[in-house]
Amino acid sequence: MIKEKQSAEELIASLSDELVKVKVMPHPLLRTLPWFLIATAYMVIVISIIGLRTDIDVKINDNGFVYELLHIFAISISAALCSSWLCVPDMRGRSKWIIAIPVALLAIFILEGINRFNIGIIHNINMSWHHCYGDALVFSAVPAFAILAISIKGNTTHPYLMSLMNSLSVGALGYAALRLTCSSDDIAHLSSMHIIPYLLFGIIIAALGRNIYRW
Amino acid sequence: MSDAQNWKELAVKAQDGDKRAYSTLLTEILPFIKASIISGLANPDWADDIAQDVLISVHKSLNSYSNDRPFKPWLKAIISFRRTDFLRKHYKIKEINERGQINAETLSEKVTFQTDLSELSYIEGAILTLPVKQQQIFKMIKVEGYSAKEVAQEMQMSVSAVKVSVHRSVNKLKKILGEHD
Repeated sequence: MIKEKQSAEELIASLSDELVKVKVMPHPLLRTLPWFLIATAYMVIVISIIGLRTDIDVKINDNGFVYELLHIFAISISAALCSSWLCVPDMRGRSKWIIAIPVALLAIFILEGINRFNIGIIHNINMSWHHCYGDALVFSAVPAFAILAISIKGNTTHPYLMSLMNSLSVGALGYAALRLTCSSDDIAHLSSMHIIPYLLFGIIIAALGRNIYRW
Repeated sequence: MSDAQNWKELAVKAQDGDKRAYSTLLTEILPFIKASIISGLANPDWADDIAQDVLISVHKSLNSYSNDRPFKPWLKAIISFRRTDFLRKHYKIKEINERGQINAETLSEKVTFQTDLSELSYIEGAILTLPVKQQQIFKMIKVEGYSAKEVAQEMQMSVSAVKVSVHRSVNKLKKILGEHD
């Protein structure tokens, strides 16, 4: 017992000795902002290189398309904000159920997709290589790296949830960029080329959350 | 002044690099950490290990404490995370050890001289260094007890080729295992 007590005291002495002045983490809103600016600027640059979809003039006046883009941006931003709160051990007093916002938005998005889907379309699904896979990778690379760099500085007590939110924010942003560059509105193409790759990648990254955000 | 208020002030001073305040903070929170951990633990001795993990985590995450927030919920979140982490690791190691014990029990039934049990891994490792075909022939003759003639028929080889293969394998194994003596 005396030995254990001594070892705890020794640890405290050693930790106190190691202490240096620390820079307090900024508020979650302020931590999301740089990511959002970096990710958006990067998307604009890549889209300007790849080029907007040929029918963008028509689509921009299509309420359904505009709603879809706003919806997907809302998923991305709310997921990134959730990730910022999840970065802090006590989430600054928030409940972990704040993730219900991006998850509910995602559920609505999926339900809308299912509504447009019919069983006959399944024959149109083609998983062979398509330029959209490459574009998806390009669109998500820098935002994914940026959010990882920001999140890894935190000390999360919910590594899986944070990893899931990071994947969701990057995936949603990438999907929005693909909608602005790829002319296809075919639900079979959208699901197989735009959604499934992000979904699979997101699930893998989320499952590795504990390993990625170990501290 | 309440503990919570005092800890909050000490934490803010610690963030500014005040070593004395930090030492006081860690010393004061230690009994609280232990008290929070100990209930429901299968082994009360683990409380000391987890408490030390929590102290290290507090040290690592001091920058994530915000002075506009109370200190205790922040500390409790770390305690809960480290407690779960410790138990998860502990039960994972226990499961691996149990699996290892089952393997050891199974092996001990098949090994004639129990004192040589630890050498089994060396022997297996040495056999794996042989070419695949030689491994197969060696195992059929020396482990499974087939005759050279039966192996020759099975492998579509001559009996003398089988015998040469076994002889070479034995020599190579003697050489490798001799190095472990």
